[in-house]
Amino acid sequence: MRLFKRVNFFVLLAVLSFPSVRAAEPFNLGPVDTGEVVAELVSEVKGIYPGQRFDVALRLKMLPHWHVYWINPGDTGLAPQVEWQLPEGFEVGALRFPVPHRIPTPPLVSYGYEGELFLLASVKAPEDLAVGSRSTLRAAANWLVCEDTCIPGDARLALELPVVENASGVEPAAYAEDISRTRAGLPLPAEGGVIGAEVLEDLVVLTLEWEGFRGGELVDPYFYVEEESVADSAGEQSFELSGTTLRVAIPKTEYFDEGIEAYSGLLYSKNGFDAAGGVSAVRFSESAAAAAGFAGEAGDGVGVLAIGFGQALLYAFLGGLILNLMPCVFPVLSIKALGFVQQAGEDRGKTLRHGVAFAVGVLVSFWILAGTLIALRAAGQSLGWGFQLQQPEFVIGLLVVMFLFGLSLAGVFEMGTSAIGLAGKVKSEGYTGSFFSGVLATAVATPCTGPFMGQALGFALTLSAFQSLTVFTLLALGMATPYLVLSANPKLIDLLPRPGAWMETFKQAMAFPMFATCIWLVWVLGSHVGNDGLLWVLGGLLVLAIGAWIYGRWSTPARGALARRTATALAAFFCLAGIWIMLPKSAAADDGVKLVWQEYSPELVAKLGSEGRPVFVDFTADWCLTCKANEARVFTSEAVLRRIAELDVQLVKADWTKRDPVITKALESFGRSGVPLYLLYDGKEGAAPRVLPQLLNPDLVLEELAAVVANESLAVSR
Amino acid sequence: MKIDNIRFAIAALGLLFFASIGSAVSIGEKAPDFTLTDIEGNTHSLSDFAGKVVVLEWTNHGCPFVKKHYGSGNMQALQENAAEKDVVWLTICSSAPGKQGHMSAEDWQKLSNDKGVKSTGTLIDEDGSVGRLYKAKVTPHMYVIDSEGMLVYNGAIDSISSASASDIPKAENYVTAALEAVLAGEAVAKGTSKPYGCSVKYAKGS
Repeated sequence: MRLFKRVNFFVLLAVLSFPSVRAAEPFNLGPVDTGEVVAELVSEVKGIYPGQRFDVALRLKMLPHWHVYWINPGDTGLAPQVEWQLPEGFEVGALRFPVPHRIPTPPLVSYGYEGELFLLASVKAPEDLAVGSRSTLRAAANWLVCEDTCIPGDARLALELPVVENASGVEPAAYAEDISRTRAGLPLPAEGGVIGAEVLEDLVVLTLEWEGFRGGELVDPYFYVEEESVADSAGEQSFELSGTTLRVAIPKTEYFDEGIEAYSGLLYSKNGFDAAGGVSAVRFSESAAAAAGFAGEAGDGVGVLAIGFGQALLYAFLGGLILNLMPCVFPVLSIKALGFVQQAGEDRGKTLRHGVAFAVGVLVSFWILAGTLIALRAAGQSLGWGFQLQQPEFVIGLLVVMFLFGLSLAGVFEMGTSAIGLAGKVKSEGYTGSFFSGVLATAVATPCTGPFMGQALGFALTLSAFQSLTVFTLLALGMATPYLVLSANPKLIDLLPRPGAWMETFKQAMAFPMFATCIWLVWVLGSHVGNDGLLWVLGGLLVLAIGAWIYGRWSTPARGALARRTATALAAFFCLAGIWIMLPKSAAADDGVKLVWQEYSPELVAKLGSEGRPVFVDFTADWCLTCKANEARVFTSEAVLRRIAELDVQLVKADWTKRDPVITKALESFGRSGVPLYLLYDGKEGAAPRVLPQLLNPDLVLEELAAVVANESLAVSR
Repeated sequence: MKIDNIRFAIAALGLLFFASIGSAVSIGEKAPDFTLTDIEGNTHSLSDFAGKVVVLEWTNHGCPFVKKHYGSGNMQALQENAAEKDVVWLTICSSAPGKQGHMSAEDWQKLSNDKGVKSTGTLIDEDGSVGRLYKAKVTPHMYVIDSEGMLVYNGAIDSISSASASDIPKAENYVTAALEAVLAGEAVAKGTSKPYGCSVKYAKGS
């Protein structure tokens, strides 16, 4: 019995220690031959010095026709894996896989490598390494190697490196050349490129936007999707390149995983990509774009080009908040202020419900906008934020609402007893009124692509429909928050003045911001309809005003029923006639090319950008108040004008007042979906521009110009 | 620009068309019928098992991924469990003559005895026609067909794609999950997964 127990104990001990026995299996210095594969851990250097960064590689040399697999093996297979055991203080990066090949075994296709493969990993030696000692790197590697049949293999590999004093003592190792060749051929990230995906029945359609596509062509292209359970690796892909947009139609695998939201992968082209130093494949990924945004070490100190999803949501929320302070929302703010005054005396629960109704109004309008944007985008139109103001009909509609509202505030007629469309609802009591004031606030606010919002929207346009909806939702919440906070904290409302006779005065005064907005809208229309068109617009407003006056004068309860009815009919006739007169008759318009400004084209910027002089590119639109304010601030400053003349800065204007697909593309390539966008090129060939903030002032522009010139002299002195 | 769009649309539509005629088996649709001879010389058709739940298992005993599941006894346990619940389990080998996994009927019988294979039958598909019909990609590649003859599962045997038997206890078995759902009259939660294993050793050029 006792003996039996002891035996049992030993068996248990043996079983328990089995894994550690395995772990104690020796690591092999030098190559390990497993039959089909010779595996070896190799380094690019014979020795290392403290703090050195260097590449090591898992070298797999296969028998002819045998292959190992890429990260996504395709139809069958498994990617090689390495588990590192490094001495104290050493750091190692992820395995870097070269561009794979398609390996057909009909009817299947796998992604992998034949011949000799070097899987690189970057290693950093600690600073406190003792010179004269030896460091041993260990790796437990496993892989699946297949020809017709498949054989899993593994090897425990080691690499011993002597520690030398400094870089001069480092000699290249036997495989240094192979490692550097592999490194040079590794896929590079498509800098500034964005990837979007759409699932269409049995296809996944990827949209790749990348400046590097411009002017190039693709030879035998193929897109290797990194995520498994997406592409049918045996399926034919179809490519369509136009400008900087590449669309790839990829047949879905039967095992398609709906849960994948972000796609990434390698785009291969036989002729290589000039924009990425000639490598044969570039990598597109959503996470890479996000990472670039956070890293921010690549000298793009001003303006982050690519932002992560979380950041975009934050920006969207902040942008929404700031929208409340934008000039074009100001008139609506006044409506809201009036609303507060009216509600301050009522009970608090009701006030909060009004706040929620307003927020819902904002939310719903943003969703409608987002839905429209997504739908139109899907229809293949190149659209950006603010597109409503590029449609004369929309501007006229807004103008009519604003003008009528202004007239009502001024006392020409009273709204509220009967509702004339939107404007009437806005003033009307009750939750519908709050809801529609939220809708109106949104309608007016949308063109103000303020700071923060540009990036969030640019980002949203590259996302899935669901994600863009999230971004838009946060924008809406940001915009509604101040109102919600006020309605939830009645104490704050109590701070508002009591209602009284002053309200009428206040209301009348509020008519003026309305009319100011009208002037701005008329001016926006001017660029669509031309001088003669403006005459019609203003005439239409006059007729509209007459209609409003008739309504206000005779359609009041003080008049008899017949007079009221006649007046209402007459008023409606005048209003409709006014609107009809305003609608655009012809698309007569002329571009007023400014003298100092050159008209934007990508070719012009490329040409000017290599002539050694600084180039300033202004992406603007007549309806963009932020742009106009910036221009007024900056280009009236004597200091700036003098500096521009001294440095012979070339000024280029990209006018986005009317939808222009070329400019839309250019904006998108900088992660933006709207204006303003300011670029400053230093005039050296191929140099990336500095992206200036969306709010400009003379000092900032002077600083940026100084920085560009400093860079230049630095480059010369080298 | 416009022309490009149209061309792309045509190309995409074309791909869609081919993709749709190409996929003969899809979840929720009728599993196509077939007839094969088993290693005992009897012929079986899928339609013979109408009214029963059927599991299809593609196999190749030279494949390390198949060895993983037979060597550990995992596959036999699944087969036995299925048999207890009156589920038909058809093991199919689509290896072409001369390729890995292809064996004579005698060798098959011996192997089945040695390994304790518990499936309803082992069917030989040496021209690969049934494998191609079902688009079987790997061994083991698993399919589950419900008692109405509808395909309800197509994919991997479990959730961890490796050749190491030590991963089996950690993995979620998709076939077990699909069978439990089907037998309980419920919808299969995970109808597809990417199958892992060795490629099916089909005859070349057919």
